Amino acid sequence: MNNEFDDILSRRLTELPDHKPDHGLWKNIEAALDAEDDISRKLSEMPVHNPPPSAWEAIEAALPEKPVARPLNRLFSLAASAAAALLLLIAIPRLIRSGDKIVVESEIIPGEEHDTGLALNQEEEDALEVIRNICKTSAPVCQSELFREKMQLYKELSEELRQLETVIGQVGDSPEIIQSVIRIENLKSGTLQELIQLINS
Amino acid sequence: MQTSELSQTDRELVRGCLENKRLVQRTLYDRFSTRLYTLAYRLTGDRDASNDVLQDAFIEIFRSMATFRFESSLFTWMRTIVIRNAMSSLRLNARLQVVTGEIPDQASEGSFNFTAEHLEKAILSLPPQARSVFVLIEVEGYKHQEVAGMLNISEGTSKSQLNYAKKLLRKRLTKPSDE
Repeated sequence: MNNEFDDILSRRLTELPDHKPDHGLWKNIEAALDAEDDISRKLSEMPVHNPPPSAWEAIEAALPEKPVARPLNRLFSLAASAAAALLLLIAIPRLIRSGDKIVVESEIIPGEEHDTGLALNQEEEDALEVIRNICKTSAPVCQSELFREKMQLYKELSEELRQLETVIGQVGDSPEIIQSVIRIENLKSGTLQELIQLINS
Repeated sequence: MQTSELSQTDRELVRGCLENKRLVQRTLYDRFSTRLYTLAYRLTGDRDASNDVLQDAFIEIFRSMATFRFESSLFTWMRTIVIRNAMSSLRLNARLQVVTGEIPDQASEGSFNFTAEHLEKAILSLPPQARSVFVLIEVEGYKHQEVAGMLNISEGTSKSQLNYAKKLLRKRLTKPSDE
């Protein structure tokens, strides 16, 4: 009895009918996708807002009146070191590549020179290390909301870039993917510049 | 040979979707929507809910395509997303309670002569959790361990729910013998 039922059940399971979704469902999906695309386009075009010039004065007024001399001196010294290190990091590879005495200025074409891109990543990594070291000294700038936001943005952009690289590894690249990589690289680089400016301000 | 060709097609589809090409996204929808909708319908037992599940699932599929690692076929990956969405829909509607009842071990005497349409109606009439377990194991071919993970239940519950579903089906599909 059980076997008979199980046999029929197995046969009928393979004959179960298919069902189709509502005819207009794709239109709904497409509309949702279009809306998302529109939002992400607008997000990347959103303007950057700077705090008013008086913001620092308000922050400064809220700081303790008795400044601790030593950490402040140390901060200036570290900031100066960071700026110098960054300058050297950017300048040295170019000086080395420029030959003995003749300096040739050249335009970097995205996607043509992978070595250049890697060298720039290394420079960015070193600059980031310097910023991290400064923040280890509990520098006030590192506690500011703006700095934290920029740092978070930098991390997110790095993650996005990492994911895109994984995708390229899996499905190969295409002009659209490469454009995305360049766009994120530029945003990342811009964010790092802003972080350096915040440190130096 | 066929597997390689299919795999190549998967890659092309994934690539097109990553490039946000609407035509490729539509191709993916056309190719898999019926199978995925049928699955959603058998899990939720409701056509409107299945449309919602399929819509949410496809948006999630396109949005998270970059996370697809080719560790399984594209359909298998998409199917997991549909199942997850269907289960969420069932939970939202509080229709996923474990139901068990007393059913005699032996069905009443009678004959089994049912069609696939009868079977489907009987499946749709099962309590939601027993139905989900039955569909995932008997129709979709998942293992108890996988189903337990998907439905957030123990393997033991998955087994008992399958047993319960089969008993109910046998009871509902038995044609009483003429006296």
